[in-house]
Amino acid sequence: MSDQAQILPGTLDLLILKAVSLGPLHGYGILLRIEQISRGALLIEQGALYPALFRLVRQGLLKANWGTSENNRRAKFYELTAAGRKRLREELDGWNRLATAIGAALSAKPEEA
Amino acid sequence: MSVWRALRTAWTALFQHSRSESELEEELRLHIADRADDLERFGLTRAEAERRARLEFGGYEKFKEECREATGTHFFEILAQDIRFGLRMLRKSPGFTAIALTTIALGVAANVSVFDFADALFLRNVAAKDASRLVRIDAPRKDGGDFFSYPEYAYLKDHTKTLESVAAHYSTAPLYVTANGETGEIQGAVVSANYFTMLGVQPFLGRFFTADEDSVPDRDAVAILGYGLWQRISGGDPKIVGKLLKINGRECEVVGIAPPDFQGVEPGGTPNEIWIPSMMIRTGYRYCDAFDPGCTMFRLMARVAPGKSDPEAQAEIGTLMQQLRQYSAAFDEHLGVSVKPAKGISGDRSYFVLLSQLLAAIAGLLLVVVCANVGGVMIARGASRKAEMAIRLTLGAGRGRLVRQLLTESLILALTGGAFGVLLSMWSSRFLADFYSVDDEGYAHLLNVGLNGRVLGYSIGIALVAGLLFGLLPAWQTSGTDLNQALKTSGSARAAARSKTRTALVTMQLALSLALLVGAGLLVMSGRTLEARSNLDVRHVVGLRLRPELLHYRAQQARAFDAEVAQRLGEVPGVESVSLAKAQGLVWHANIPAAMKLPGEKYAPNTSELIVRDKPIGPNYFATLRIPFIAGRDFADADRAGSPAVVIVNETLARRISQSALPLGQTVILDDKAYQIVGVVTDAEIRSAIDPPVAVAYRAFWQDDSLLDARLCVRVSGDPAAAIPSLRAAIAHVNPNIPVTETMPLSDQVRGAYTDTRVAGAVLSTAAALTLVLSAVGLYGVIAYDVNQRQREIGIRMALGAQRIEVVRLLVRQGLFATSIGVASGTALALITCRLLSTWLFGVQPYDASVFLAAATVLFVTAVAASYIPARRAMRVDPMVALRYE
Repeated sequence: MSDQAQILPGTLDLLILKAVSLGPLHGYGILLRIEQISRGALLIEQGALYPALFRLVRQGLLKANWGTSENNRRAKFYELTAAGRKRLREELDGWNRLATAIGAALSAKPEEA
Repeated sequence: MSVWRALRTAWTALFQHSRSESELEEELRLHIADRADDLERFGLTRAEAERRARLEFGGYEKFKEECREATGTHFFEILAQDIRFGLRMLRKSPGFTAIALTTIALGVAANVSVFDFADALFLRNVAAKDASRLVRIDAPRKDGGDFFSYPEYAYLKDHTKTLESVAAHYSTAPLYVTANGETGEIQGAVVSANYFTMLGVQPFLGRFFTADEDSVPDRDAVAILGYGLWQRISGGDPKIVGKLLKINGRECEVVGIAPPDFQGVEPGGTPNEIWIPSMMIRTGYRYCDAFDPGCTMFRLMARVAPGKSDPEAQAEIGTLMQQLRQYSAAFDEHLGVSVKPAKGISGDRSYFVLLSQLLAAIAGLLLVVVCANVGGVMIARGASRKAEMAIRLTLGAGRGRLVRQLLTESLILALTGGAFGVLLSMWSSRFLADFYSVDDEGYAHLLNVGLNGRVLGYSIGIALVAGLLFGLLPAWQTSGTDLNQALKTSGSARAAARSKTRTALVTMQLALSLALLVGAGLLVMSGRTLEARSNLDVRHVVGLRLRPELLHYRAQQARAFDAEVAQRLGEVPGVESVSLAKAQGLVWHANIPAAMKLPGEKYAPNTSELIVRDKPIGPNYFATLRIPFIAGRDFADADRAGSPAVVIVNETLARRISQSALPLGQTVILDDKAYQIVGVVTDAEIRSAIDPPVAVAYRAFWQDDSLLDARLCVRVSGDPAAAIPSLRAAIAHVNPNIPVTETMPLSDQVRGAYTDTRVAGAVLSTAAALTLVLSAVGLYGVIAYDVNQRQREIGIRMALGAQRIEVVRLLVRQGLFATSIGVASGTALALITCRLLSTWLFGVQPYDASVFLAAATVLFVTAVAASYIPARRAMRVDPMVALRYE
């Protein structure tokens, strides 16, 4: 378990947006996709995914439609709306800037301070 | 979030609740099933896979709740859930629900009726188009009146720039209409030609007055009939337009019919049924020359010009009235001008304001009692729901959540009860307004009560306030269930606290009951003393009014008519005695002031002692009304014009003239004329408790040539109402054309004179009876609950040898303790009530000890009964059963 990290608060939304940006997915699919793209490094409490999904739908960033899953079950598929796509871009930019800044700060050498 | 979206969310929450709920369920289950499939593929058994999948998912219910919250339907969903649950709980105890709903309905109905009444009195627009721009112009006069003369109206109308139009109306014109050979008095109005056009009313038939018809005095005898009158006299025959009708002896041509819903511009006043133009004012008004600057009878109504405001109009009219003063001293009689929106009743409202405040206070107290009562029962109910609350707390519900649930139940009760209350108020508002449907002269009045937007809004508001009042405390107490205590069966400390709260609520109800009982007692006594102390007996007396002056009879003719009528009426079988008085009322409104002095004295202006009430009466007046003589003689037929002027004084006046001896034979100067006192009678005046006794000088009617119209009082042997037709016939025999009005048992007039006391009395008595019943029920509930809770203790006491009667005494004493505190605090409240009531009391002192005692006794007896009945049950407690109970 030690090689898995708790996700930072607020980043779950970003991960979900990223996961569905590649195509419509149902809830469990999103979970698998996040595990896959993070190579199993991120630990999500599975149930926590759903309140986040409902919130994103309400914010108009995702839309949900009922369809049929790969194993022929009726499932609710989520996909990005235009607003969601825009938000994902902004969040990614913000995240990258933050990550670069923090990375730079943490790797700073004493003489640079 | 837009309103539309909020509504859609609410809609989804309330009505598609089960769909979204099952979809959520389906989605989460799919997740777990998919996961289990994957785990099974990794080699776990199906059962193990499903277990792991559920475990990995985490708190299923918690996430479900979070999802609901995230969709935003949460608030409404909880509300919907609470409402469903609340309705279920209320259905489960129909007895409680029915009683609570009835109680709330009564409390709400009382408040809504009072509001409705006040709304009709003060806030409702007159029936007109675009009524919000209509104003009334008032200018109180130095003599107390507030009317305008025609010349004043004409000047204002011609010079105003802030008013689009000004109409004059004299809306209390008694018009005698002869149709189909019969003459009847119709409440009419004399109005300027622009009256109907300004109001924007359309004729039902024919037309309204033209400006030309209202331009030359006495020339155009035209009339407009009210819809109701038209139906009555011609059965709705349209050919009546163009025909002639006799009005006050003058032939008038009917030119139009008013629409059915139009009854004039004085809400609460007498509804008008016939209109004649203002140039015909001399036909409708006889007391002075109607075109004289000092002869005032018109009220003014106006429409404010576009872009102008009421204050601007008021300033301008004030200036114009000032300008008028330079033309005649008669114009110098006004004290100021006000221009106000034409809403509600016109004229002096202070009496009605006072009455509305009193009624609102009574209704408010009733509502407080209702809330305390329902609140007490809810607390008791809360006790029996301890287990339910404990379970919900264990399942993770917060206290706030429980309070919200319980409050929702209260609000459901309040709003449902309120709805019944609104239905009930339609009847009770009518009941209130009906007190004002006839005035002390017997004229019908029309006060339009009934639901409108404002009243409905107020109803909802008052129901919500009630719901919060009776719901908050029980909700807080009930939700504060201590888990540990609730799980043990006897939470005796909490039960004690609950019982204390309930006792406090009951004590409050008892205190308010006492205050209301005292008030009701005082008003009832007032009514009784009114008859006893007025020194009058009006029970078998008919009052009526002869008005030869309306038909322009000359003095001699008129007085001959009065005399002959009085004589003929005396000959009618069953009539015991007949007398007459000047037209200003027989026992009420005897208010013509006169200045009095003794010979040789100088008038001292502004000394109220010298002002007496001047009341011309005929012989037999005192015998007819049974007013006792103290000394001297009554007027006789010999006291007529030319004989020495005589006067009879009442006791109060006699004492002012001389403290030591009866002033018989003494000469007094009344308005500069000398009179000799020939008799002294007891004070016989109907007056309120705070009015001082009035000094009255009775002059001889037949010694004053200026008196033409007369009021007659006729004492009959049987039912006065039954005697009226034969009296009318006897008068018609003398002269069928002369108007006879205000014919009714004199007791009706007296009743009309103190309508306000009767209203307050009726409302207060009802409220007092209701609060007494409610507090008795409340006390019963507390004691009964206590008996239940203390079974064990009672069992032990009895096992230890306590007598049954002692146990009963213990419980009754508890009830009496609450009652004593209630009486003590209620007395303080009652003292305040008395102060507020003093205006409405007749002949009783506000702090009447006997009323206080009686009220306290009623309260104690009720309290003993309400405690004894449940306490008796305690006697039947079997010690063995009680002890084994746990």
